[in-house]
Amino acid sequence: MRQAPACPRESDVLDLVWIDQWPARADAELRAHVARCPVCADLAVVSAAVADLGEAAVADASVPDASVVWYRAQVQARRDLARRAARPLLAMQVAAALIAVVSLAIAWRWGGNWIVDRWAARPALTLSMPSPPAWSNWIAFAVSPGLAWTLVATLALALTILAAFYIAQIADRTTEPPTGRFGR
Amino acid sequence: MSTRNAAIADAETIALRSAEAEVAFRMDEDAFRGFYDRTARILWVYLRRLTGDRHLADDLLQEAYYRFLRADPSLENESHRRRYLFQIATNLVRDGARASLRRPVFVSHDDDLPSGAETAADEALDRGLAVNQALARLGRRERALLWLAYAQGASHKEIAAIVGVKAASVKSLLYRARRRLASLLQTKQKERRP
Repeated sequence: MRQAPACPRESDVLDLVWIDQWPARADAELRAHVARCPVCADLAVVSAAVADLGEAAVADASVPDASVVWYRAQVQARRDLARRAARPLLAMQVAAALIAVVSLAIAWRWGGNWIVDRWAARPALTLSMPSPPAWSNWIAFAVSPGLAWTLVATLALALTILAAFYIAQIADRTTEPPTGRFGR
Repeated sequence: MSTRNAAIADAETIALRSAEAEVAFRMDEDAFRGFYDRTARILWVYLRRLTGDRHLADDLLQEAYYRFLRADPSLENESHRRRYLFQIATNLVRDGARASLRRPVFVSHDDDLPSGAETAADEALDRGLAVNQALARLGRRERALLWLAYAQGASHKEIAAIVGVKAASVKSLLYRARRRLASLLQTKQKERRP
């Protein structure tokens, strides 16, 4: 950017403008300088005009009372807090619905067949004491893919419910009026 | 009543009704009242000057104080707080321009001033009108620079922080804005005295 022309007398002009004494209390030498210095001439005209305008405008300005602005800010803050609190809840509800649908699909696709097979192959009720199953049967049961997927789906649902409660609790805490250092 | 048991649509209403106590801001009400009384008029005039719309200035005044109360920067003294408040206000006006608000921003209505020089009661009012009209023809940044420098007496450093320009650029930007306003005022003067 090109260097702006400057004049060492600018501050003398501004000092008088600030106390509303330009050009009344300017000495003849300063007035003569301003008459021939374009930088100071512009400064004197513009600063005095804007300063006068500013003074009049501030005197005529009509602003609401501080308590009105404070009250509106409080209402706005509560509204923002509520909006922010509702945001994770909404996200969580959408996520929970998606996870529930996926979990049910997984359970139905892989777990459903396994449950039907198991039900069909259940041992008949007998009065005699059954012999304990062999270790190999327990291992086969544990590693069957149907059971694994059912467990995964159940676990996902449980985690979703827990997370939903946790986020809801955070949201509740956020919407409660804080009692911080500046709280009233 | 807990929000977890409520529909999301009701969350806002519940929070508004249940939060009887005031929300904590970075200032208490008494401190705010003092700060507001010292700054509100000059801030409103500044906003009015930048937007050219008194109703928009009213809205932006409320929003500026709200954002000021919600923010938590480390502000050491009154001067810093003032600067920060004006920075928020300047950004609000700038954001309004970017987002092309429904209402036209930066168009000077000057609805509180007489429309013609012939209605001015005296020379001072006439001159005020000319300055108003000339200022309205400047760009928003030029207006902000001139207003901050000469109506509020802000330093170049403060102006730089508020307007969002480099401190080193303020002098030359201010010079150019001054030059432009001076030439507009001269033209106005010539028009008045043919």
